[in-house]
Amino acid sequence: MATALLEVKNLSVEFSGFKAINNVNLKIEEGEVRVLIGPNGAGKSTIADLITGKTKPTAGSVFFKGVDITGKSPDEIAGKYKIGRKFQGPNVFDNMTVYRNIEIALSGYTTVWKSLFYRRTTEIKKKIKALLEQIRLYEIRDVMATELSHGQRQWLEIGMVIAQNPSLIILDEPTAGMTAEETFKTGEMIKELLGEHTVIVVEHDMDFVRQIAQTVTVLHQGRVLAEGTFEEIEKDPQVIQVYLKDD
Amino acid sequence: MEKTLKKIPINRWIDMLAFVFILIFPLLGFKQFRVDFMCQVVAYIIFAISLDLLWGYTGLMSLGHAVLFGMGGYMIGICFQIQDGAPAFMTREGINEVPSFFLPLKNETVAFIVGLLLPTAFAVFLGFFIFKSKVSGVFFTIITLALAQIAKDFVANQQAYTNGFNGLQGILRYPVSGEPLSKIAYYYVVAAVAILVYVFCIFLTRSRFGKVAVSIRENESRVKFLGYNPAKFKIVIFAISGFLAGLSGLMYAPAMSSITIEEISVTASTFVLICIAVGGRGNLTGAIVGTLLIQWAKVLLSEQCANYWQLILGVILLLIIFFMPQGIIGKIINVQYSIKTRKSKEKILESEENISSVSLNNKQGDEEYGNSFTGG
Amino acid sequence: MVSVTSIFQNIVSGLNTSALLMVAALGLVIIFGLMGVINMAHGELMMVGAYVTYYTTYVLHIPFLFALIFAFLVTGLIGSLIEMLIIKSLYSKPTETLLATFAVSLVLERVVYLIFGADTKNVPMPIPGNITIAGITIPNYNVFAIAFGILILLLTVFIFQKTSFGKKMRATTQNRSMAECLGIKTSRVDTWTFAYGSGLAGIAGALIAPTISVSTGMGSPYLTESFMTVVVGGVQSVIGTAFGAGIVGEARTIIGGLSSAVTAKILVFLIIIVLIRIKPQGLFAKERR
Repeated sequence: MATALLEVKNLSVEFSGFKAINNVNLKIEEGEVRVLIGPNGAGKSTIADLITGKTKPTAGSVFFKGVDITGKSPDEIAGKYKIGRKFQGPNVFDNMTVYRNIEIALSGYTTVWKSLFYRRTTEIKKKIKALLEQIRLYEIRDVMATELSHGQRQWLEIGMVIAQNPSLIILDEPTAGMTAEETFKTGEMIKELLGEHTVIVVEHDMDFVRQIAQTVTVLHQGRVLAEGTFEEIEKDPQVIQVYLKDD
Repeated sequence: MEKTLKKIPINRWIDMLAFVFILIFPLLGFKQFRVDFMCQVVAYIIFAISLDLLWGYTGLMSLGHAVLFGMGGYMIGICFQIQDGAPAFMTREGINEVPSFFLPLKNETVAFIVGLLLPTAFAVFLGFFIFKSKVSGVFFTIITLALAQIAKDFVANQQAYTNGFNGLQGILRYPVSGEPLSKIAYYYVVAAVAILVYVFCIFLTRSRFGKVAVSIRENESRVKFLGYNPAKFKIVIFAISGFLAGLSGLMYAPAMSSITIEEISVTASTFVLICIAVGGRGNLTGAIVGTLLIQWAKVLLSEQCANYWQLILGVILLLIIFFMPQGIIGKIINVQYSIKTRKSKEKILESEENISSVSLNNKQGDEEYGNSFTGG
Repeated sequence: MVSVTSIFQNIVSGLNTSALLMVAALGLVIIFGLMGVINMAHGELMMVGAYVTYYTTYVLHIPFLFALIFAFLVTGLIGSLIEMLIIKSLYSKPTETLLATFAVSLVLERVVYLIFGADTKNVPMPIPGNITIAGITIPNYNVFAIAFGILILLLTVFIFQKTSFGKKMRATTQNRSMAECLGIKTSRVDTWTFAYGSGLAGIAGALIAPTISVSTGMGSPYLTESFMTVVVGGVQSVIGTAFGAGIVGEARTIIGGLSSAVTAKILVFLIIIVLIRIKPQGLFAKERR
């Protein structure tokens, strides 16, 4: 019985007395696509922060591939443990072209030494080209990131996360601000790109969730409210009361 | 060949022009003291480039960079002073023999190496404390300001070892032992060093390392989540910058024939800052052009209106901040970029509509455009 | 061997240094800590305050107390002009703000130079003489300066905590857009805040003036020390700044008494660097998320 890829055990975090995350337990298996949903303030992004090292928990632990990574620094978690994160709201480098954004995200060249002697070999060029084509940005690879539309910046950042070659990908509201058409394309992109990757998606858009989800975890006020397939949680009375009925 | 030439961004052409100008300057018939001054300016360009690496590219504003410059200058200054035993400023204070810690500096090679390594080591030391802490960038600025203040006081106070306010005079051109180079020969030595430093920095800033540095400036937290450790990168950049600053001091002192505490003061540090702010940050060209402009402006203005050239400088700086915050070269780069952007905007629209056959005539090419930024 | 008396003497002298530093740093913490503006002209504003004092007391022969008030008003006015003409347009561009205020410092220094000339000025001591208690001598003026400094501190805390202006200022600092939604004219609050901070710098300069030779270049060291004080105390804390001033002022005076002024500065500098590493938010900062 293999250990789960990511295990969150009794995780809690408190900010000045307010329990943002309260005793959360999660088990993500390798190859899974897990979606985290919940109303605003439920703590979805906070969990992402806790896993990727942006925030330190006040109790509990995070295990990745059996190793305790609780409280480690973000660059260690990203570089050594290879957990890639796409942020809410596109977070790309405006000062560089699309091509360079992907290039700088490429895993394996993140130490000072390696970055001094990095060269763009043919193999690397092929890798980047393939990635750019998959996120449909190859044509405009030499354009500055500032010139892209919002949706394209989201795709760029997804591409950057893939370039990190991560063992676990966390996507924080990847379709925020996208049109319905862009959202659907993103869903397809995620499904085809992430066949072999393990993904946690934090999301709001129910149609999108239905399009991509395997297992869904519902968060409410810092706790896990329900967990199951989309159809299951869609019918869960607690979830309906707290979340789905909100209009 | 045509395509490659087109790919070179406009500011590199300006660089080449500037260097050609520097190389032919002594032959243009100006009076010797002007050529002497130009030699100092060329050494100063190395200093400005070192700060551009630190501030322009990586976003770390130092108000005390002149201290690192001074470390280089003072090492070679002391070297010259102790060639014939304890100099006058030491004997006056009762020190009749050269102190043991200065003795190694008698050898010019040692002095040169110390002049390079001392500021580098200091930068690493300082960087280790500041960059590894969680403080924001403005603290670095404040600490370097304090450093500049203290260094000046310290050197001024150590009359016996540094000649305090009078500084170290009588610094000749290399080599120390033997006949010093002629002024013209030294001029070209400094110019050659400047060109070498420039080429090195081109390599550095175009490398992945350089891109990471700029990304740290633009979005430090994002860089962390890609697996980079910003503190390490900052320390290395600061060290390289310190090394080059020391080198510029070592080149400058013989050109100026002296080094005083004025050259390590806050005023000196902010002067080079102004040169880069006016010229343009983060593209090397701005450091070169800005230094040439502001240094010559200062000298010519202070000959005309000795009492208020600083006022004019302050006003120029204010004007630049309001109307050309990216500096002169930054503005030129931006203008050229926006001309080319029209074509790429069409491409984006086409790409969004998923048209697959797009003929690309005029590829964008060079990422250096991204280095000119507005504000930060 | 250093005598106990001389150590106490140093501590008492240090109180004066701290009080003066505190007033200077208060002006800075308001502008830097609360408004987020790095004011490189802070030292020059102090210098202006000193020159106003010189002009008022020496040239116009008006009593020192009035000089303090004039210094406050003049530098406050200059501060509000700086804010309205320069800072306001550069809001949210910290690098540009720093460069711009640096340019202002150059301009201020030269303008004062062109008006008053290069020679140093002497401001007559308004309260001469010393008192001696238990073998420790304190200049009468120092007692006044310390008392006045505490008065300024209390006044500042009062303004921020109890007046409606203070509330508006704190609201603007904590959440600008929210404050605007509540109808607070944040633009005007900014100007008044900057003016007040500048005015405090002027008072600091006025208080220091009788104890030093006033010259156009006097401001620069105070800029650095004020920043150090603010860093030690906690960048956003007024009370913290007061304590920071106490620590930095005393440390400088005591160490300076034992060795030299320069050694004192170096040691204080090293202590602060280490402090930044251990407690980057300063000694008295509030916990933030």
